Amino acid sequence: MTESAALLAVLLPAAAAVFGLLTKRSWAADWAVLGSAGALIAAIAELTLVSTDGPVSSIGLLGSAQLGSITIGLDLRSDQLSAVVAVMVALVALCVQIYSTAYFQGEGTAETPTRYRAYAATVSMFTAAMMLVIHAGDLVLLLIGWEVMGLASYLLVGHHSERAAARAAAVKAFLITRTGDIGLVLAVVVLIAGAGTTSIAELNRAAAENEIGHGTAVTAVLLLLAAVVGKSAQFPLHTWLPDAMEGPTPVSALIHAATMVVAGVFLVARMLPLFLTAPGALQIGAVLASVSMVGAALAALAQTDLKRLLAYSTISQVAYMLAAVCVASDRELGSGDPVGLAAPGVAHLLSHGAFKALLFLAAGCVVHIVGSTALADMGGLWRTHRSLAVLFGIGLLGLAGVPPFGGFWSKEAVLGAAEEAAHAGTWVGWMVLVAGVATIVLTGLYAGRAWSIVAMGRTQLSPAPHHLPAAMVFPLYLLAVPSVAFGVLLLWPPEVLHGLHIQPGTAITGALLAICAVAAALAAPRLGTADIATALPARAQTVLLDAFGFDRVIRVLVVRPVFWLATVVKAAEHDVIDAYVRATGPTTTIAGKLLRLAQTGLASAYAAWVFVGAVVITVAGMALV
Amino acid sequence: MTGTGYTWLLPVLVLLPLAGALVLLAVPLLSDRLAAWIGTAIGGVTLLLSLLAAFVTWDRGFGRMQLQARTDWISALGLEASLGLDGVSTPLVLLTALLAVLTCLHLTRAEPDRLLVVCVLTVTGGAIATFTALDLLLFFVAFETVLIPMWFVIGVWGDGRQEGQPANAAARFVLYTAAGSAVMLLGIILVITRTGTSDITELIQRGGAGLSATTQTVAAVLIVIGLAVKTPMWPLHTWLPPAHTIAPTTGSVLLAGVLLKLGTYGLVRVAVPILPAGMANVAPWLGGFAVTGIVWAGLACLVERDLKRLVALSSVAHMGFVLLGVASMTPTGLQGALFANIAHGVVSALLFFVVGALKDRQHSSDLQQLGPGLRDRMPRLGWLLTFGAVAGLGLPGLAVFWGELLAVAGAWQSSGLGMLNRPFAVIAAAGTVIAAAYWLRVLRVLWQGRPEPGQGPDATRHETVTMMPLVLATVGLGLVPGPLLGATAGVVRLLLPGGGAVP
Repeated sequence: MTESAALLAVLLPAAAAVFGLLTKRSWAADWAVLGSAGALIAAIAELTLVSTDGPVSSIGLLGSAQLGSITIGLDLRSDQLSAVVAVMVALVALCVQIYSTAYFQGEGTAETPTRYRAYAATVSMFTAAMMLVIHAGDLVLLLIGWEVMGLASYLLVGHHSERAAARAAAVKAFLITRTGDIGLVLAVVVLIAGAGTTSIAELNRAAAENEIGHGTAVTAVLLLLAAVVGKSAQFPLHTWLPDAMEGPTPVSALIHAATMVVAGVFLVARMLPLFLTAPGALQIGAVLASVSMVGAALAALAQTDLKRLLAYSTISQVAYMLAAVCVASDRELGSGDPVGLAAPGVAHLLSHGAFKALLFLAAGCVVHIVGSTALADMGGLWRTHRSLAVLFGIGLLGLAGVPPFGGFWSKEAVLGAAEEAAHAGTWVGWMVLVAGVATIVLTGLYAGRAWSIVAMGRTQLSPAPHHLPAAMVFPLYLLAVPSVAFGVLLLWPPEVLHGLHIQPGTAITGALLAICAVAAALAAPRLGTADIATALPARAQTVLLDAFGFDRVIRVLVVRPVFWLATVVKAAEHDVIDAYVRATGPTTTIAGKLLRLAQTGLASAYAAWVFVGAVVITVAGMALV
Repeated sequence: MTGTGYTWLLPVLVLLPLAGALVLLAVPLLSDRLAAWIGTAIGGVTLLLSLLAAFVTWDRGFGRMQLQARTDWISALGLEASLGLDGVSTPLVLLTALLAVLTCLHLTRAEPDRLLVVCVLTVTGGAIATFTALDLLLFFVAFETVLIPMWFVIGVWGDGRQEGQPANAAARFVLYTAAGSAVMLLGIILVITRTGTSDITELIQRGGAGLSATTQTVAAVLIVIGLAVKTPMWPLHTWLPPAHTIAPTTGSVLLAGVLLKLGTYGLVRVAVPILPAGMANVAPWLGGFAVTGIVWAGLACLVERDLKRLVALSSVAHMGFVLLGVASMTPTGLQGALFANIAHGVVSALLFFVVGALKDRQHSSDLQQLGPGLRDRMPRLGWLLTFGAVAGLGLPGLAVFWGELLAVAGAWQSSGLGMLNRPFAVIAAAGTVIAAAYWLRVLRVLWQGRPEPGQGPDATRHETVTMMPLVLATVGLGLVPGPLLGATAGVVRLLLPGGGAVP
């Protein structure tokens, strides 16, 4: 039963993608919604079954592949971690699919076609790929889902491919994540050579029992970390995520909440026993997460575009999850229970999934009403669309971590983990704790800022209220439930979240800081500036808006040298390598002309050549003998 | 089943396309289109027979030579016509037969020509003979048979919009590869004279016994250079882009799907098992050239303006992975090389069909003239191009990925490459990012963007039918790599010294 549920969770969205493309155009929406609804039902069934019957270690999917001396089983697995995340993914996917049926209405114009059919199929493929990552029992199978997700994000970010910015963002998203993905490919290669297996369960077991050589483990973990950093949009491979806002808004909800960026964190949680064998790598991960957490929150503070603001908040929030799993080796719990050690990160992954999807879908409604994504064009939502404003506010409160909303509990669990590590006396714990607390303040500030600009502020709308289609509003309510009530889950936590410890000290501090920060941002309009970001010095605003100019650094250090090299190669191909080939023609001609000089036609000259030849042969013969 | 049944299969597989070619050549009354249909039928029968052969070979075990057929050919030279099939050759025979059907089917509508069909069938027969030959000289003769019809294809049916280009490209192709073959022949003769036999199975069994390390190295260098021209290996690749650019679609597909496979097949069948000590000396160099080729061709693709040339250059990068797998001299690497070989055949054949269809519409293969906005203008062709590009960049879940992964894995654990094994593996892996970069560039210029109104029709039903088998094969090989990997898993151990044990 568990087997079938897990298989269906993966295969239903995949089938929806195929059939959506192959059958009638008018059925595209039905396939898309049915596929994700089916996946949700399958995932819930899987969660129930797994909780009662226990995990299933091997579910045949694509057979096995014999490589050299090892056999790779391309099988699925199902346990509580996969089931819980699958439910969240399927829920968000279903919301996105329902929302999209209204978001993309009609065929569009010749200038801006909606291309709904391709869109819906790609979203289904995206969901299937994420489900594959979650359920993969083998690292190679995970890699397949991992990269298909990259392709889906490329197609979706560049969905409005008539826009140059969308094209550029799509390429950027794919190339940066693929650069990180070399890490995953090479990690597979290293593990094939060093550990003789790529089965996740087998690797975790071998790692826990110290059977994997230290060199192999450290190399593999560092390589995996590169892939995680790329996929989860962490510093220094983060720049694709804000640009990916060029994609349609529901796609952003999908990428930021349920798929793609959380896949990286999921991978660390899934392979935590292996990661624990290389604490140094986890420390590097914690440093990168701390940098991303604070840096992205600072950048979010000054954004002038609602979607970009939310994008930076994603980088910052995903950094919380990554930091939570990266302090695992420094916590007092020791290496005893990898599930418990991963729990804070997983908890934040789940609660973030709900409120971030809610935020993006609500932002999509706002954009639908206003017709622009710029914060400057928004305002007065509270007066014109109160229920939408409330939903948007719920998302923001979750993001800011104000109790009792979902984000509060999971964020405090993360801080609790960091505090544990700090108490154990490690610098990593302190660093994450300080970064986490600082980010709470920053998050409160930008969340409050977003609210005061979008919901309060001056109304810039025409008095006639825009009507929102039901298909766009319904998913918001659906997502608001877990955003508000995530804390209830912690009263009766599933096994996978058993390791959560919320420390009263950090929790109260965190809650107070979050509330104060939000209040400060909300009070700002009363103090004269509608937007607290304008209180920053102009110089700082530009730097933050530009996210510290990191894009330019990459352009100078990577993009330009590569293109310069490509030009050199092209020239060398013609002028060096091919020059030899072209030279053979003239050389032969010249050689022929030279040799023709010997053909004088004089018998005496030929006789002389014969004589010379005979002498040479004789001398050579004597010398050799 | 015992080992004696079905011995007629391989000779028929070789002779059927050749006989078909002779008949078509001899009957000038046939209309071009009818000739193409007859060619398709012959190709279809060949495909069915090779499926039967594959089944029988699978049934009896891919590890050993199956369906062996021997007969004296030129007794004065001690030359035997002996054929056989194992896990290395079976997939290649299937690929050749499949491409024969598809190219002939393509010829029934586009550019139909009786003599072109003759050339296709000759190439098919010659290639199947090469893949099944168990005698070194027969291997060489079959290898060369393919050359001449291909020369005609490029020279006669080449894109003649630029004066003298087809003749130039064809001459370059034939002289370059003939020069390579001459060098290879020297190596083959050296092996035969020193060992006194030209029987490949026996030579594989000896595994280099009776040949000094020096002799092996000299022979390996000669044979590898000859095969590397055909593969092609950087820096011996400059015949390939012009040949592909000028050749008609049929020619490009055969060139990429069949001809390039001859070189790598030769490396695996001849160089690696017969001259192990020599290959041990050559392998680091081969690996170095392979990796250079991956990066070099990738970078060249980044700034290439002609789509056909770009696909050709990307072939050089793909074959770099194949060569790296061979150079690793490990079972994993060799399996990767053989997988990548098939995957490249399928994917680049698909890409050349797509590019050919685009070129037919725009009468140019210049990126600027073909684009932009293909996804809106010609959705079907656009998606086929996107699929080909995505497969070409080695997306996991599609065919090319497995070959690349295994080649890199082989290089990583190779002891034959010495200190350079891991650097090579890392550089090759980085090459996949370059591949992503140039394919996305193509899609950005061609597939995306605002369409300009009023350009050619979308893919016809006929074109879609021609390309679909390749799409399905790409997905099938990518999602279920087990069977193909299983076919090669056992046999590569027999080809490697010491059973391919990795220390």
